[in-house]
Amino acid sequence: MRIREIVVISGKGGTGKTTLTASLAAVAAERKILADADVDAPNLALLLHPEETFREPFRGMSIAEVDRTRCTGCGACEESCRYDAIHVREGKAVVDEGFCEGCRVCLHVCPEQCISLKNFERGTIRRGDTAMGPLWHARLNPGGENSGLMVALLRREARKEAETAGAQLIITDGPPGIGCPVTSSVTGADFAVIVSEPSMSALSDLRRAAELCGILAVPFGVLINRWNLSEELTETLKKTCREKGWLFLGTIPFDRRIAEAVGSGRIPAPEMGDVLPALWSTIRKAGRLEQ
Amino acid sequence: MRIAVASGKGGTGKTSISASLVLARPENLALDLDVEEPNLNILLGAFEGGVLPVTMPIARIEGSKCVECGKCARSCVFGAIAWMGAGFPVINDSLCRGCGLCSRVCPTEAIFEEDQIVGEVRSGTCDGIPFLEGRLRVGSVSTVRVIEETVKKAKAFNRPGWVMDCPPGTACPVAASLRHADMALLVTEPTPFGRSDLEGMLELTAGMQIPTALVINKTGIGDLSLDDLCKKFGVEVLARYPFSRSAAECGARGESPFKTDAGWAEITRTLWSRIERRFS
Repeated sequence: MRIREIVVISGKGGTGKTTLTASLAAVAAERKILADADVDAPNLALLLHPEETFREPFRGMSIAEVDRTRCTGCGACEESCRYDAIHVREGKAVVDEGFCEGCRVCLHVCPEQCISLKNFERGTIRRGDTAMGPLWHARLNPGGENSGLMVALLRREARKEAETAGAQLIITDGPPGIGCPVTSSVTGADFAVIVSEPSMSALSDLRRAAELCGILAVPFGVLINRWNLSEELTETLKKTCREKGWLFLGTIPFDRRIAEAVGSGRIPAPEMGDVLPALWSTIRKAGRLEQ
Repeated sequence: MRIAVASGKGGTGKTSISASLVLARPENLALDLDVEEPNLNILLGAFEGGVLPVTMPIARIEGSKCVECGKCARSCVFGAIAWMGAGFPVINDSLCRGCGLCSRVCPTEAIFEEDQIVGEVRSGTCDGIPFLEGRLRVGSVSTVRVIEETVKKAKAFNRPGWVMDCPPGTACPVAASLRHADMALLVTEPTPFGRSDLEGMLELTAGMQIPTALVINKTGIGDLSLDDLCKKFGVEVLARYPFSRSAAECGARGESPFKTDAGWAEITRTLWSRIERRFS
């Protein structure tokens, strides 16, 4: 059976990706694997409460390290670095670890050959069991690079487990934005749910997220969360969907009880009422999940 | 003073609070560094000015000079050059990071570089306020490159202070923004998600040794205490904005609550005076 992967993204942060992902996990009857790809601000575990079964350090790409005893401070490395990641300070080259991409240009140009590559821990990848199914999640160390690579590894683990466990569905909680980790979350997924909300900012971000899905050739649908905060802007969003030919999936109302459930670490599936199974059925059809 | 408004979690109100800070002190430069989803202009008003492209070099191979040795492919750590052991190597544009190593190792100078547009910087005013915004091209992943270019342009603006609307998360785009800041103002909300992401941000600003203070937004939608985090990291809460449906609706329409909500404006003015007293 083919495994289908649904990824929840938003463009704008704070529109309710994580709450929706957890709620879909609660309502989907399929055998499934869950993944939190928002690796630098992961929150899905706060609703799913996994019991940890596995934990492994994440090592990103190697980065440059300078042997200070041999460095003459000539500056050839600084001049050649395209990422502004190495600077001569007080006569010695210093690597700015948060910016080094590990491309090795500095190793190539250093006349003293005193630069080497080192690999270090950039975060942790974890797996846990939850009432909704296994959860793969991760945390990138603050300021860390390689979030795209970390997301790719996480998705690979989720897929591997889906294959061995015979699960036909993976639901991934994506990061905000449209950059590296989002591209890495969406590439190759079967369907993207874009969670928007009735605001001018969310509309602007929705356009960019939809454009990204188009570039990556991933089919998507749009969901409007907290629609009743502005009926007028909800209409504007719906109209944009119609004009652009984007699939409109449905709406979720703003309800204090939903916020309170999340506030106490609980999936707000009961608070969403009939809205949730209806949404899931629409997403199932749109994402072509097999019966 | 250069103030970075950041949050960890998205949607806590970074942009609303950035816009309010700027509207209260319009002599400062409004700087939108959330280049993946720039929205500060929406709250500040009509943009007038120019647009400059941000480019990044990517590798190209000149077939007539290539001797098919494969050194370029072996040197590329990003796996952006495919070579099957014979014939011309092929460059995958979306994986090329423009480091320039392949052109350095090529023995016949067959590799040259071509500028690719990865985003733009919009520079001018929003409703009269000096304004600068980075905007990543959709499909590009060069977030940090666009942030760096935007900051470079900001330095030429010659303004006494900056209010920087930063990207969400705690990864390299935020670090790239924070490294130009004199202080970080972290906007959070009293919920489990807000708290968890705030902790990551506090670790980041502590690691970067940036003076840090908190703003708690939407008090009332949750009641989670953040006192222990404040104590652990030695930071102070400088302002609390209560959750109000009217402020949320106003922001949703693209208007800053600073202009329409007297209570909101007063909190912002107090916030400014506390920032100035403690951090300048």
